[in-house]
Amino acid sequence: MKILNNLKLRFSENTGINVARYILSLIATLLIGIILIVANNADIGVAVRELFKGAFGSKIAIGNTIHWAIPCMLVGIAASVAFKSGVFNLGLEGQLYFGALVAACVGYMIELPPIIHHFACIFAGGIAGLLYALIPALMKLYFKVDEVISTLLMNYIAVLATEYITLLLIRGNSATSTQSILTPFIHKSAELTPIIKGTSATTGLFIALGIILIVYLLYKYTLTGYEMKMVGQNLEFSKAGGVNANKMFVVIFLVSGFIAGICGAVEVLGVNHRFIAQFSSNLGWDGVMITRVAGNSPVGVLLVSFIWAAFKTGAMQMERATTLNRYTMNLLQALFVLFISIDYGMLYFKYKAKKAREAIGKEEK
Amino acid sequence: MEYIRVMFSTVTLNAAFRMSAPLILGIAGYCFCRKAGIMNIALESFMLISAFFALLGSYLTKSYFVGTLFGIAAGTILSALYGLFTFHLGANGLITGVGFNLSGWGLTTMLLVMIFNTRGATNVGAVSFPTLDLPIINSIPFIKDIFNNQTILVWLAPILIAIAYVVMYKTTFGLRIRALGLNPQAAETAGVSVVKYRWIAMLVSGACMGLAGTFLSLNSLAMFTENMSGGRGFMVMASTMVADGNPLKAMLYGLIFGYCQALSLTWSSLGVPTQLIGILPYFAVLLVLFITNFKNLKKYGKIKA
Amino acid sequence: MSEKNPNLSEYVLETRDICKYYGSLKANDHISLKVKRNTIHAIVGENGAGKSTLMGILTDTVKPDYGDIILNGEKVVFKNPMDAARHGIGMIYQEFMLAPNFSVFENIIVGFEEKNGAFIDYKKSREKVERICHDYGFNLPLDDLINELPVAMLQQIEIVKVLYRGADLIIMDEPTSTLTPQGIEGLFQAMRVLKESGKTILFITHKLKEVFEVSDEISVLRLGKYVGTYSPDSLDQQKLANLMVGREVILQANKKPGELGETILSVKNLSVVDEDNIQRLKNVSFDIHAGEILGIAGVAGSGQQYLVKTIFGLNKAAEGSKIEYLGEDITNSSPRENRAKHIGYVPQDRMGMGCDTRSSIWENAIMGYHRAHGFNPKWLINHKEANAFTDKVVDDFAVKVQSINNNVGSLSGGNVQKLIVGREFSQDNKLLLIEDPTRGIDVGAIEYIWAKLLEFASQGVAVLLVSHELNEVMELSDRIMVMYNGELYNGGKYGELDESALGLLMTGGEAKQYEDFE
Repeated sequence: MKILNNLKLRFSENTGINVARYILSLIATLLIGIILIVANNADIGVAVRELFKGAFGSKIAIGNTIHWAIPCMLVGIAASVAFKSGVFNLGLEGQLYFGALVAACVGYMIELPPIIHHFACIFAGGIAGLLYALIPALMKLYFKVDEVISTLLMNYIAVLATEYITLLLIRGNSATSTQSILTPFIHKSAELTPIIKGTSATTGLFIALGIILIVYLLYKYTLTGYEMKMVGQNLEFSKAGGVNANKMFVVIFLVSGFIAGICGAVEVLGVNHRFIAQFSSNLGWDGVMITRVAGNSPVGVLLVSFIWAAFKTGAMQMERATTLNRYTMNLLQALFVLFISIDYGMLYFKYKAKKAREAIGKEEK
Repeated sequence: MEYIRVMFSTVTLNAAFRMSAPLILGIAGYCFCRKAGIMNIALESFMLISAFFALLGSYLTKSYFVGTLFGIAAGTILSALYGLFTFHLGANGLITGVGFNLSGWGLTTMLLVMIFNTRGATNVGAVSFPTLDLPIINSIPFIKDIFNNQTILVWLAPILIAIAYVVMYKTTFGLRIRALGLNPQAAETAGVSVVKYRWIAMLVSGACMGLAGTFLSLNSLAMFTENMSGGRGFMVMASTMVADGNPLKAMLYGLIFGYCQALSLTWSSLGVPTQLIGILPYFAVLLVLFITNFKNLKKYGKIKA
Repeated sequence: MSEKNPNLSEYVLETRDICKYYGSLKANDHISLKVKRNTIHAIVGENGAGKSTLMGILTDTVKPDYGDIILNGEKVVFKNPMDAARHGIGMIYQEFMLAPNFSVFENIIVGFEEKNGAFIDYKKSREKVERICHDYGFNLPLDDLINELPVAMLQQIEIVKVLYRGADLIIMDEPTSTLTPQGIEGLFQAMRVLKESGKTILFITHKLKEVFEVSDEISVLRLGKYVGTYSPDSLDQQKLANLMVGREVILQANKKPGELGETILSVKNLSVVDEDNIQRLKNVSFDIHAGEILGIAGVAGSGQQYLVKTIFGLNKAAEGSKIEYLGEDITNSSPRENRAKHIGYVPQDRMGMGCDTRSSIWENAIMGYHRAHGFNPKWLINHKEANAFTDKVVDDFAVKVQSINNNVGSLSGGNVQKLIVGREFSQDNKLLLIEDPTRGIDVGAIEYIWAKLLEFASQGVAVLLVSHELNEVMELSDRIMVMYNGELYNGGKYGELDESALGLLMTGGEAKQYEDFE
């Protein structure tokens, strides 16, 4: 009965704890941020102003923010699909690389009419990501190889393997420096059109929004989505309800890899127009952070992605205008995620239970 | 044929001995975590951040010894933070690990730019470890080419493993750590405080990762580059996992992975593309994971009773 | 060794007014118990009688709310479990506290190693263990790994372990539950040797035969209260069973005997062997007919869970087992297939398996229904239909909710259970597997669920009711079977046997394994 009472309590206070989670994490991160700014002899007001200016200060700034929001949304939703269901796909980075490479190949090797070409590239990229995710998924299913460690290692393999394949494609030699290992440009028919001139804010935005919408609808309206969610919520309950947990695990892993592959493809079609070796600077990891902050919800991913992108672009402007460098922002973002992942609810109830015990103790005395 | 000759050349073996050292240094500590049932993907950041601070210490004091202390301190403090988050604040270990790894990347790159104004610091005036010339070994041909003129850190790696092995299997501490990983409840009834022993294992692994990080930045050239740990933390994790926390076995896997790294160096001088050969160590880890788990296939489809 | 120290008091252990409350539940209610030195003292009681709580308090894994422990005539307050061990109290748990992949020797010494600085003095530790084995006549393979040994051996290891730790008072919690008859005989032999060597044993059990076989004194607990301490000579099995299960009947279901229809479920020679190779079910056979409630009574852990889970497809049945449903072989078919064939399941673990507290009421309501009975089109959640179904469950079963979009966690236990039961009842199932449908919920909800259960059975649904509440089984079932130690025994038709007779069956009194009597 005590447990039940606690549960009841928990849900009336749940919202409050969630709000507190974000506020406390924000305060902690801001405090560290202020310390860093002061340590750099920078003016806090200026730093914040430049950050905003860089993210939203002009049409170009907004374009840049959108440009970054696109991959953030895609990789964020890829991560949320997996994490919502308790599948620890930490291999988004690798899946994204293969998606990008394959999309670039389809982009420059084949000639197709514009819209069809887009879809061909994106679909091919998605499939590449999916296939790369299939390996750890099957290794887990059949051999019980922990997907965490296998996906982590496969990220490194993916970065080097795509670089090598590119090298083979362009018949370069290995002495070429990394920066110049790149595929030829994709055909114009495969390039995504910018929606804000002079920036890389392209129609990729609609693809990202579309996928978020699809995932949203998947969870809201389909039985597969319902089962995907419930597997993550309570595995035993789902099994008793007739959900095939093994099949679900593989499906979720593949969907996550598919979207990560699309993310790589959209980066190629929209921004670089070619595959560049080692182009992603921890984009896959941004996905994991975004979905954690968003609480695994599709709408949350949408919002957090824009905030993430704003920080990315704003930080560049901040770097130009102040003594702070943009990596400060990276650090603060990661710290924010750390603070968010503290279980405030548990701490709160522990504290309450302690108080209650003390009260009983006094009574008996 | 040349490739095969190179595989067994003293150059490769020398490099293998050297390059497996950071893995083995890390393994010596992480074995205790593994036995105590802690999985920690933040090892990567422990290594990276301590590499930076070791360089910083050496740069500030012109002493590799102080640099090492900096490295160990950084590793230990990080492990304490990680322990705080996962043992007491109820944070999920994986998410915390990802947070640590990204913070580590952000922090080191930020400090690198702030202090050295570059994204890859070499020749900044930090002092690295000197190599040891051991007269006993120097008189033996072949052996001398492999083992001589290594730094003390390289030699420290097998020594730490030996110590870890003795602690693990000959002391009360080791017995209790092993017992609590197998059945925490039983350990509690035997008066072994699970939290206390997990904390000790955590801190020991942090200190060892600190040494491993120190190796990266101060072993031969005193240098630090962005993301220079390059997955070695994960390799430490994988080696220890596969060896199930036995320090000697884990060292063996560490040597294999170190050898693959060495091979990728020497083979690349023969013209094999660095990318292809660079995959080798990571692929080796995956392969080992696959082989050691192959027996699980027959368990597939069995429902737990 | 059996020298008596005249300075020691007659009682090795005494508890005075021990109380432990969990909310409104009185797990221990002023328990005052005296244990004579150098005896085997049995503590008997049903599930929930408060035995485990009391033992937890004695070993300091549970903190009492009130009361004193007097050990050897002196009041003691334990600081931690270690402290209890140091005072000479050794506990042997029902679940063995042994580390797998660890040698017998290591398991015995861990935490209490003979030391040489930081190092383990293996020689000295070994000598000590060997001496104990020799003195008490245990023959243990000290260097074998735990997971390679039979259960009876593990039990002996546990005994040597507590002796090694210097225990004078040894508590054994249901030590025979996993042993074979031969193993039990060996254990009793060991207990007698221990007694002769001057140790005192607290023997917790619910198996009456065993109580009479070894104990010198018997204390009975019932519903958290101390009933009394008796000498085995002054009791027989029947009297003891009455002392244990005697209770007031608060609720009556007003069951009317119904007409039985065709055979719905037929289980033949069902056996289950778990991961550790322990046989949990032994050749269980029975039929259930349309409109019949078959009640399975038994003490917790007798194998009931394995029975239900295996029929539903969550566990694998051993070779040679056969489960037929409407004439069709459903042995080892998946829960999904079984649900599609109109088999419903109300699991015992309400919060863990029956629902998800963090999801909404409607999401919980459609689980299982969603594929088996389904929506149109088959791959979409038809929200209108889902809501209609949820509303129907909520209305029909009087689940008090504010909105079906609220989380299940916001409901009270009784309402959660009504929701779960309602979900399974509303899917026009032909067979219902139900475990403990009324555990821990308020009286009103119990009455409601009982009435619904009878109503559905009267409509021709076959029900397999597993319950740890004997009263519930007796009130609702057309036919009763008792599960004891993985085997089924005939408990008669409705009203045929009274509760003391059933109590005797539940605790392993004289009975033959059930054979289909039709």
